[in-house]
Amino acid sequence: MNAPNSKLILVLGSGGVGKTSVSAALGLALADKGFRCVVITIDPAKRLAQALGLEALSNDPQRVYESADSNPANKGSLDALWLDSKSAFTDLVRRQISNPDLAQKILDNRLFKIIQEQLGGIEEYLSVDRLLRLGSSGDYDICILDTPPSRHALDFIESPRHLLKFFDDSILKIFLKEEDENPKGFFSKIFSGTKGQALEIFKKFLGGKFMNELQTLLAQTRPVHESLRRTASLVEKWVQQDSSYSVLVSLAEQYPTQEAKLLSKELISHGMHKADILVINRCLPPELPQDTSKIEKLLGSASFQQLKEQHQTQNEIIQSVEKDIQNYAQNSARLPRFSNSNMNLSTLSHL
Amino acid sequence: MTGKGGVGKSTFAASLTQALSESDQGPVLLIEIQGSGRSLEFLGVEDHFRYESQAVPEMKNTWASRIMPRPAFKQYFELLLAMGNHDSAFAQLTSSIRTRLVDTVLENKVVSAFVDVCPGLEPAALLGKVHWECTDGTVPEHDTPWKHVVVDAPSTGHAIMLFRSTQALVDVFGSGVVFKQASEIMNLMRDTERTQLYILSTPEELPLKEASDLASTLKDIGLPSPHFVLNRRKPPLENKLQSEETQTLLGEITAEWAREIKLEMERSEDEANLLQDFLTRESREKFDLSLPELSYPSKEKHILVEACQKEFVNK
Repeated sequence: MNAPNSKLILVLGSGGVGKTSVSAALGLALADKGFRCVVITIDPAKRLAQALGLEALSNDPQRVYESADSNPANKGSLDALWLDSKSAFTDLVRRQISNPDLAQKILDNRLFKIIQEQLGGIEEYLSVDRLLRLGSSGDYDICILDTPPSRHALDFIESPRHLLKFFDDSILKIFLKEEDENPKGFFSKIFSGTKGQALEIFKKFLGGKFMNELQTLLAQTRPVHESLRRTASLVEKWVQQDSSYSVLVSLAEQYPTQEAKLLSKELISHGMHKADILVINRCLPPELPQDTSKIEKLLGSASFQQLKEQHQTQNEIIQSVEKDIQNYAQNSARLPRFSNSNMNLSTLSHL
Repeated sequence: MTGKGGVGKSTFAASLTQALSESDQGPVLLIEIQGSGRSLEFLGVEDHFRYESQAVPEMKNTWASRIMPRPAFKQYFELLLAMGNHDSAFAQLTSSIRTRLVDTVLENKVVSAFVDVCPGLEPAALLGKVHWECTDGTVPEHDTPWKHVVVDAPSTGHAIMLFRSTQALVDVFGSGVVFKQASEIMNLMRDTERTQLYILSTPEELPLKEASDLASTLKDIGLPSPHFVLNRRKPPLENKLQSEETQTLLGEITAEWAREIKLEMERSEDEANLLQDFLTRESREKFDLSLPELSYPSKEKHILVEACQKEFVNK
């Protein structure tokens, strides 16, 4: 795999703030400016997937939109990819391990099944792998990553290293190396201070059966190490480039804005520049009308009360965020709410 | 409690903790697994990133702690070493020497890197700590065991992984101390007399879908049937967009607010449908608990606490 030459846009935010719709809307806007874009998403809401014409999971991008420019050289487009992480993982193993019997053995290994779940980085890793392949394919000017939901929004950047750490020879080979000498007394070993003895105790603790299974798995998966290492360094370099952008998505609510602030710190700690923009999604209009009686009549008193409170909270939160914007991003923008039940490309274009 | 990220698990966990505390049945411990410290923050624990249990201010008999993989693993390792070596000298060592020994082993660079990546160990240690608090844990500096342990678990995917990996350790090890400990954890989780699972959701498409998927995965792992808690329910609003009166009124307000009203009515109708679909799918008549939308959860927590009292604690 070559270093990617597309520009990268990361769309980040806590769960439920509308990352996927913002990613798609951004893609449409850029396509209209003549860029060839692709959006990568992991778990879109059904209607959004339908709006984007994504009928099913696929590991290939689907064409969503083409701009109207008559000159093909200026024609922008948007593709979308709904990553199927389950099948993609199997694909990945099969692609890396050329011997099909061996690939099957790995997929069947019980420890491997735990790894798939525990490392938790698998989905992230797969999106990184796919992202890099799209970014270096030459087919796209801009790749937009709708970051996968995870414990930490930037886990995906570390996911190749995380996997690598598991497979890394330097750690595990030492650990699994057969000891020549017979272990002596339990206590003499502990307090004698040599490294091998601490290891010995730990190995005893895990037991022979477990160590054997692990050893087998590591031997089988050796061919993937090099490719993991390369993926790790490519994605790290890519996100740190000046021409990579990040969009924080939040709502005008207490917790999502707190999350956005934390995310902005995480970006810096990953060697990236400050987030380019904080998008405050699903905002009500800034001012209530002078006379609210008609709105109250339309909504009924309970819902009107709720709306009024929500409006007030929203304005307080937006005000405090905008005052403190240097701790979030270089700029902020508000986006209106839009119809969820009537979602289609034109709703997204409007956004 | 678990559910999709962002549905309000921590707020709910803290509210239930407070409700249990106020019911005065005995000591309560809130554990946040690898969380952001939010449930502790909600209870007013100032140093909410500290690992050790802390007394919750202004609450009787209530403690809170965050558990993180590293310290949890250390405790788990020490516990298992003692379990596996009853007849050996290890069990007879003074606790300070034991701790030194465990430190020596775990500080080894190779061991430490191994623990980070070795499959199954982290989840078993995290759930192991929960299990330990439930079976052997006591109020700090007292010997009173906990009456209730409330666990603010990670969101869906990671929560499933905790259970599945622990089960996988049972399968892979087959015998020995790790096997024994992992089996005990799973037995506790499956014991309907002692363990209650709560799945939280908001009235939105993806959280409801995740709640259903999660419930069916938990069933596959053999865990008890969960309670469903609906969070952030807005007051019901009838979609009257077809009526002439509505259309007239909409014409008399600004276009931007007319649009909002329309969206609000559509959203409410949509929400009702999503909830109905969910209940049908789960063969339930209603949610076990329905909590209202709050503008500032931290300022209005009494509403949530009272709801928990009424629906869970008193029952």
